[in-house]
Amino acid sequence: MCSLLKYLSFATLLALAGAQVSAAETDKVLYEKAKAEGQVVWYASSPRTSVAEKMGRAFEAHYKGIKAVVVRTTAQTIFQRLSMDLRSNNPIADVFTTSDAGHIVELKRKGLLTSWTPPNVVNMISAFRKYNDKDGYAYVVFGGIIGITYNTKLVSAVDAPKDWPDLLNPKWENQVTIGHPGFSGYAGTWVVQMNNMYGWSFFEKLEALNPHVGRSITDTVTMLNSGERSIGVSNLAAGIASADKGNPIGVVYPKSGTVFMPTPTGLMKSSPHPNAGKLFLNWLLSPEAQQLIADVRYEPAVKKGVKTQPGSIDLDTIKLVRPTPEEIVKGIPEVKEKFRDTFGI
Amino acid sequence: MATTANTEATSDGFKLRLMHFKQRFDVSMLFWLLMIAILLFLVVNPLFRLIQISFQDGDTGAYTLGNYFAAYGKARYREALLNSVELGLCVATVCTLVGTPIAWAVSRTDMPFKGFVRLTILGTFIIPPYLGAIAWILMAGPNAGWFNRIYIWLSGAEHGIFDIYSFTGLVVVISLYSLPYVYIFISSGLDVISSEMEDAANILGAGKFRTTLRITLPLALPAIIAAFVIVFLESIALFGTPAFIALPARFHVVTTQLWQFFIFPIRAEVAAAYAMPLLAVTIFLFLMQKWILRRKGFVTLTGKGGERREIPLGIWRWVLFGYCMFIASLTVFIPMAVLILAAFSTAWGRGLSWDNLTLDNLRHILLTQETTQTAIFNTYTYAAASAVLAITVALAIAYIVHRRLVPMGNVLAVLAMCPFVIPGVVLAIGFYAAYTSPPFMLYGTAWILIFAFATRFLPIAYANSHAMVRSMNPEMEDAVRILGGSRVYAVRKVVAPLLKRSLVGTGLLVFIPATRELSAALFLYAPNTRVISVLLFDLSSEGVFENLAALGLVLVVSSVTLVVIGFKVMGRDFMIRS
Repeated sequence: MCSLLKYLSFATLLALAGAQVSAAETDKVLYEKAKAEGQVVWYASSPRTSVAEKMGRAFEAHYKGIKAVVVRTTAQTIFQRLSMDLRSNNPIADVFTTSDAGHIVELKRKGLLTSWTPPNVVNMISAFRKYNDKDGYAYVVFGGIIGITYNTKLVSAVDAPKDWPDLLNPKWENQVTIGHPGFSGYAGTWVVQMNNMYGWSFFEKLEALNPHVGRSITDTVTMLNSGERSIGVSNLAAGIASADKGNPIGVVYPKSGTVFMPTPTGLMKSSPHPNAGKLFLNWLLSPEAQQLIADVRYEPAVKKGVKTQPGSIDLDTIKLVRPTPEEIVKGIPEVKEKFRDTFGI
Repeated sequence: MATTANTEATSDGFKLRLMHFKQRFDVSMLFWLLMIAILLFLVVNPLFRLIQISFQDGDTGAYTLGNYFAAYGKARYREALLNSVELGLCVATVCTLVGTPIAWAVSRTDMPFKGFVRLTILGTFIIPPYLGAIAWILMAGPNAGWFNRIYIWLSGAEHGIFDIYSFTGLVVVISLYSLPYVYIFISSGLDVISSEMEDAANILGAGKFRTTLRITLPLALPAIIAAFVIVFLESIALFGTPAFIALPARFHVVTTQLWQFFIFPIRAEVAAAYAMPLLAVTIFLFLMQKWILRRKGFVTLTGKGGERREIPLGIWRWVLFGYCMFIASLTVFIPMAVLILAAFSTAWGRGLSWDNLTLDNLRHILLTQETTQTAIFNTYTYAAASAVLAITVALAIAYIVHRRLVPMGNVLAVLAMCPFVIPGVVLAIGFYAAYTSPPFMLYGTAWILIFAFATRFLPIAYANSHAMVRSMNPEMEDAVRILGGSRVYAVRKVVAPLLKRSLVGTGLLVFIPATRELSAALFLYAPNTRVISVLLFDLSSEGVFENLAALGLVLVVSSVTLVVIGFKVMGRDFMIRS
């Protein structure tokens, strides 16, 4: 008995060690192959350019000999770029990150993604892991949150809206700023969620208050900074980052639910550098990359045990809501049209 | 002895045959044909592909009219087209009215500090319109704009009176940043008018004002009309400024609507169909231009003679100068102040204070952000290459058309003007359709950007070349040919030197917009061929205005530096008239 137990435990130990070794080995093997390829091209709509490039450079520092080329622009634009590349049979992107989950669904449907399980996926918080694609085509590498922001010089914390329906209060006429679902993946998801929770009359009432409609959801922070508008629906990380620099921005986590934006990342099947792509995706889930995200991005990290910046929040303490991927795929094109009809553009 | 004589005879015979060949077949014809071939490559192929895909179904490739129904079925799309035309007309009118006095003042009067005024025009030209738009949003935003705040403070009113987010706001911003085109065209036209005609009018009793209105300006009519047309076409093709101003003002123009067609799901075919009426507009405008100028003689340049004297204005010269400075502050001084302030602030929203000043934004943009350095290099090399290509082709085509070297020359003229009315976005789509499949695999290379820029600005180069060639009397080239030179020789030794100054001006007219071209670049760039305009556009949606301002400042300063260096190299100090 004792010897069996000993044997079992020894075997388990070996297996575990073997797993560690094989994970490390996979990494090393992948690294060699990736070095032969020389570079990885990352198309991303999130995080902000400065953060995305920082991550690219951190990757290069970690994996010497592989260049990381970062192309970052808004969700619809980067997807358009990708589509154009594919249409002209000139694939450039290896790794694709988008804040519009509908893109991933569409790419998966057309068979344009590669299914692969990165070893680091075991580190993910379960809250995020459930948003990974079940068949291994996409992984949530970071998440963002959409909430309400306000200019602290123009609006006091007491007066600021506490929940989504508060935005419809007539006292906010000419004061609100939002993004456009036709440009921004974040804005699109937010519109779908509001439609789900409050029906389209929410937007008809909002339109009556003459909100400022920008392009990206981050445009709203610029509007608030300049004092042009005083209430915004924004990506809270951008809001907190701006406040940290000294701009007069305050954030509110709406009571009915902060809209959560897991940002899926997939590997392109047509990737010119598949091994480098895999290495990069795996690295994005590593403790090092996740700590970097938390440090510079002020956003909740997907990995367990990462220290977050003061001012950003632990996701467990607030209510999160989000439309399902199916709702997003069908919903975003639908609400885009409705939005255009209601707001005139 | 016999053999050498024989060899000599043979070589002589050969030389004789070669001379006969050269006489019968003007080799310079090959040069013109080459230029025409390049024009076809740059303009016809993309246009043809564009027209072709407008009739093709997106998925099946079958021929159909469905795209046109989709494009014009919705009222919103039709409205966008009307908005664009209205915008173009308003901008062209305002711009011509505002800019003509400036051009006239610099060209024909004794207004003081002309060099400085010219500098401000150059500054206006270098500042990208979308950068100016962003600065203007901060100046004239309905709630927090500086102008409104000053107005409220001065008058005690509750609300400001300026709202940049309106059709008027858009017209104002675009007009201001299109002034350089008006200035360049009209002042070039006015420059070559000798004072003889004005003297004749004065001798016969007309005052200065009347002379100007009835003699000088009508003589410059080709230039004024060319300016009007160019500004119209330029304004309807802009993407960045309408994206910032029209969208929040809740109306679409053609370019922003086209962008919508390219947002997933991509409907390039519908976009192509949507763009077709603009082609019709160009042709119409061109015919109008021809009709207006049909029976008038505009030959005023006959060699280097003809005195040009400045009109003395007395106290009015200061009034004119004040006017020029007022316009310059709206286009250059105040917007640049805004940009500089933001570029050196840690937090734009914090306002002016010593502890808010920092060099970090610049440092980040220039050193940390990787893409900037490559983008700067790319921007200027592509712009220079496209400028050279554009003026070579434009001058050649203008010459061919005017001297009727080939039949159906007017078709070439229309072709050369076509690209400008196609919004940069659509031209880029045409290029994309034509040059990203065999036999031309240019996608992702620098060449597709260079060709696209050259094509985009070919009409401006052509319009200028056309005016230049038109104002040149053929006598001089005929003199060269009578004396035995070929046409190419005449162009090289007589025409080009006469036009040298205008050529440099035209080159700049292509170079500078190419450095800030956004709509074409947005479609054709690849990760390693990014240019500054694309970077600026991306940054504008990131909520970090400080970095955006820093990058904009870098663009403006480096462009100004390059232009100054260029002028010095060309041997001209642009402060002094030569």
